Amino acid sequence: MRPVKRNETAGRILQILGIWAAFISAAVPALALTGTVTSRIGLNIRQSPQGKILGALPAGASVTILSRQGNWLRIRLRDGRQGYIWNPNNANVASRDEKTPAKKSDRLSPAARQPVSDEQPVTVASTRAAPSRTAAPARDYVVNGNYRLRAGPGVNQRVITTLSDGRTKLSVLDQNGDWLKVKTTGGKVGWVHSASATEASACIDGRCAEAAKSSVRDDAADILAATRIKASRVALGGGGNACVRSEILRAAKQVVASKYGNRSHSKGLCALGVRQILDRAGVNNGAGLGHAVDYHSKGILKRKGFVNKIGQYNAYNAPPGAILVFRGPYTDSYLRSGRMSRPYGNYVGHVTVKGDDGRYYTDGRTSSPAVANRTLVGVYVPDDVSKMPSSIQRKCK
Amino acid sequence: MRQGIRLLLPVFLLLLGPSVFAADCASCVEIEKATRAFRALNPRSKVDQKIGDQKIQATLLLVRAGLKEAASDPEYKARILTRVFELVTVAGPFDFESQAAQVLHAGLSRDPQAAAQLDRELAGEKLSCEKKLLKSSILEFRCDDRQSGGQIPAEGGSPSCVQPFNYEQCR
Repeated sequence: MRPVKRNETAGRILQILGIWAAFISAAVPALALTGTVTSRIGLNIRQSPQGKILGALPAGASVTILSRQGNWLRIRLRDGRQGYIWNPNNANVASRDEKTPAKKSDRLSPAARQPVSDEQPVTVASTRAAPSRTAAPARDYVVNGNYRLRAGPGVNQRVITTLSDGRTKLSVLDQNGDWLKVKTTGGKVGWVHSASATEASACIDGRCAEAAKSSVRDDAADILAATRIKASRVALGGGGNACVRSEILRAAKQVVASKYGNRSHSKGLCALGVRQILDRAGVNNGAGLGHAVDYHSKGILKRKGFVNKIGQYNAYNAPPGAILVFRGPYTDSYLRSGRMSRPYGNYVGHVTVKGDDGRYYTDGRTSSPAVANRTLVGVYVPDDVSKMPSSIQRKCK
Repeated sequence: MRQGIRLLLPVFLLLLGPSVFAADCASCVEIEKATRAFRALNPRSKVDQKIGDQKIQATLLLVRAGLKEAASDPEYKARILTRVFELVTVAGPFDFESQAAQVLHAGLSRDPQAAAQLDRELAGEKLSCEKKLLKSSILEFRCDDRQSGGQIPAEGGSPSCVQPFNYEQCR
């Protein structure tokens, strides 16, 4: 009987020790981990995963990581408060021992209490080994503006719905070039374009160059997250280099305001106005570009790295920053006759830049593209930046 | 009876007026018809803007025809020109490239008498927004002609010529 009892006792002791060891192994890392926020913009602290926002952590803040729930980390601040932060990749490791004194930035400063999106390029570093980033992680972000959710990656794909509400929350599932596969809160899965979204926000915030740098990164979710997304009324769509388009758009607004007083009507100097816009944007270096229709007929824009997407777009759905070229009704005969003195506007066509506010920028800011008695011959979007001057190449390549 | 006729005569003439005036010139009927069509449009409406835009090409032909007829008919010249000016004025809000104003300016540059008449009609401070729009266009075209002998300068035109009149803010 005794040996049996001894075995039972030994088994129980081993069982208790095993449970204790398991508990210790689970508890030790939770207590020992310290993370540092590496997001440049900051990070939201939430009450629960995807729950109420309690505050925001600035970049470089240190936190104690208590546990992990999927892509969320339960953290504790120095003042004892706890919350959850979004950490989908767990990739950027900046280990620090728990005994290291924490920075002042651990506390929530009043300035840092403003919520920031969880969709920022994240994130909290951990002392644990970083997993590989081969799998596309699901990321949440908020779309501010109107976007088309399409069935596939491309503007020719069927439109599933329009994400018109700025509070629409999406999860990025996958990426294909400039297109992101996303899932809405309603469960719809589709594709949205990333580059145009970046461009629009970059322009508004005056950070087009930053957006351009971001666009060469391999993680499109970061591009979206890095900037607030504000879409224009029209469908932004794709179309060439979004950075150059945003530069053109910015220059168009500046030129029309400064040189033409934001007047509502063009006065026959459209070719000149657009040339000034291209000069200001850095796409043209002051060279004469001829009359309006020459932008198309003499291949001026093509030589400058633009591509004509007239089959894909028209004057109304062209992406902001695209250059629209119209041919006048009597262009050919009038050009052949050599009579090029004024009035020529109605003969040799029209050229204008599509805006992101429903207007068209040329030597004025018109509310209509003025297409009725003209033929649209070109919807030019920037494509090959290497053909453009070096200044714009530095910004947008 | 005579008193009744005297009283009704002005009313009768007033009713007959447009058709009598229209008989002044061959193009006047069409010019007045086009003028009425533009007046019926709302410049603030996107749909009407598009409709008005579509009428611009025909308007240019009417303006040219009117100016040509005015030049060849000294007796009714002033009346014809008045109608042409009126048409260009009401078409202005829908003429986003100021094409009608350009055609008018080209015609007037060959006819100082007609230009003087336009100046008289556009004189004064209390002008409608449509007339201000036409005035700003004509002034800019004239300025550019003076600056460069009729040719558009290679670089930028003259900044002083630009008339930054904004019809959308005026109305």
